[in-house]
Amino acid sequence: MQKPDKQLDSIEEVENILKRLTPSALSERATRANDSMIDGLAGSQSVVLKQPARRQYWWQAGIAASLLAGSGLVFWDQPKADSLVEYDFLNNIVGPIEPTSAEMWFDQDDGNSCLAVSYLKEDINEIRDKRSGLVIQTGWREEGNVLEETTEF
Amino acid sequence: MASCVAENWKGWLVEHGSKLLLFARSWCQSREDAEDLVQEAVLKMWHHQADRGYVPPDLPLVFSTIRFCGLNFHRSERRRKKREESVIYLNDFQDMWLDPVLEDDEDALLLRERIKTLSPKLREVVIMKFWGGLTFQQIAETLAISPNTAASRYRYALEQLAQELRGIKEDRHAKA
Repeated sequence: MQKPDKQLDSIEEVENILKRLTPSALSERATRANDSMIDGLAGSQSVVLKQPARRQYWWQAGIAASLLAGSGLVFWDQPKADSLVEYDFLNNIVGPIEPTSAEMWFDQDDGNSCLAVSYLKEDINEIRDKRSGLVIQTGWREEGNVLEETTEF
Repeated sequence: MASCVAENWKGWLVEHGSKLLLFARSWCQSREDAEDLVQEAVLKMWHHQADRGYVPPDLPLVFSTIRFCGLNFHRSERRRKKREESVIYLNDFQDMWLDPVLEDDEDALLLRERIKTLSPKLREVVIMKFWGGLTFQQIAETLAISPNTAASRYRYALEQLAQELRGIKEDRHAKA
């Protein structure tokens, strides 16, 4: 049986020797494989995967629904006679709605995927200046994304 | 954003990859299998960290995941070997888990060999503590044992290594 302090010396000695050993690095092959995997995972996180043709037009329905919901607000938000007496509200035109990206698959936090598309919408109001009679178009462009319902696999 | 996340993970792997590989070696016969195990664990970690903004994970969790993957690998490997009993496997004797910092460091080279012969329970604690830099508390959580047990295993492993080192040196002196 060895004395405790002798054991302690031995352990310290072993620790000192172990300090002179370092773990072997990952091989180039493994490093490349890991890097490639991480790039792929990071890429799929933000975008991509071409979608089936049968889903081609779903985004239009999505935008239409958004606009129907929004048009009520636009109407409600029209200039009021007592606050904007110098203008007549003539018309509200929803300009061309165009997809600005291909349809894309997104990975959601819950692990499911959903389909999305970016779009550009124009919303134009026509108003007439009562004093000058000039008709003025004011409007804005809205960029957005429309998501389809969650798809569970 | 995505490229920033990817760079974070790659940097994290550069920093910790060798430690993880060393730990994975305990579960595999070859370096290649161990590297695959690390990759599998990284993939699992990626999905696990999705809810945490894809921040690279803490080491104790990765060690734990490698251990889990290692257990699965071990099971499938046993099944595979049963199927392929007639095949002769060649060991790569140059395939080392640890590299000596200095060339011709005799003691380091001796210990390198002895570490491989430690029982898996002792070896995993030594690797996590010494090269992984984990505390006994973290090791305890990883292995689902008490911190005292983790500390005892570490001490016992080092005593065992010290004893073997002494034995080898005494043999050499006797021969000389």
